Amino acid sequence: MRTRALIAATAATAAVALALIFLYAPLDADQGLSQKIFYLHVPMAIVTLFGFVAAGLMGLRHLQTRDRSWDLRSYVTIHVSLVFAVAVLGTGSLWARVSWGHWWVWNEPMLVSFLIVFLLYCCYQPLRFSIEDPDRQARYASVFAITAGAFVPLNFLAVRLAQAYTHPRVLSATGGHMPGSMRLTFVVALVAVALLFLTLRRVELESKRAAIELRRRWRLAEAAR
Amino acid sequence: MSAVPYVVGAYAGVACLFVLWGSIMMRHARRRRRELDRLEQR
Repeated sequence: MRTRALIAATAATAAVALALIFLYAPLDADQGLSQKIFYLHVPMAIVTLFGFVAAGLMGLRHLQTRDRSWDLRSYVTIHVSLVFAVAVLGTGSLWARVSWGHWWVWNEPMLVSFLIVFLLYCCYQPLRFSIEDPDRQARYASVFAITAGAFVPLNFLAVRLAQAYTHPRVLSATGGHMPGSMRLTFVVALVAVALLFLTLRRVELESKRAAIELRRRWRLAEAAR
Repeated sequence: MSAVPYVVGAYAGVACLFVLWGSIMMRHARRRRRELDRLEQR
């Protein structure tokens, strides 16, 4: 799909999702209006974690094939996932404040585990750019992406298995306890957020590829002089 | 406590973040493509 078509699909899905969130989905009996943050916060968290795992798989592909384009894909995916993670932490904090009366709750395993994953990935860029040799840089970054990517589902599973959590469990194998209208809204919001992720990733990837090509041509021009 | 400012803040904040991020990335991509086109024309 071309970038313009992807942007248009993202805008259209986001518009439908917003209409469903504010005009169709009923107000939650317990939380009221503040539950609307759920349709933004949870899809972004899911997409972020999938992004981190996908970046690990791209890193693995790089190590298998030694094709640098997989490393670039892994790097851009982690970059976009980190921006999404900032939004997840921000919206989560707002939701916690309005629901629980606190900006942050340290004994809530889901919040703390997400923060740990975020801080772990904050180390990716300093690690990557502390290595000058491009091949070594790509190799080390791939190893980091694979290791951290494997940590993400383990971390999520550990939180799910933890007994004492206060986080509402809205997603399960049986579809959780959401009524149909809320579930439909959630799924559309999830698709919109996933498309937004793919669009931003595509735009950044195009920009990075153009930058690499520019550098290559400048080097060729320098060598020719 | 009214939830309106928090809900509006969450949606507006996320919209601003992604519009800003997306427009910066698109501007970078466009500038680099233009430079590549210029190099090709030489």
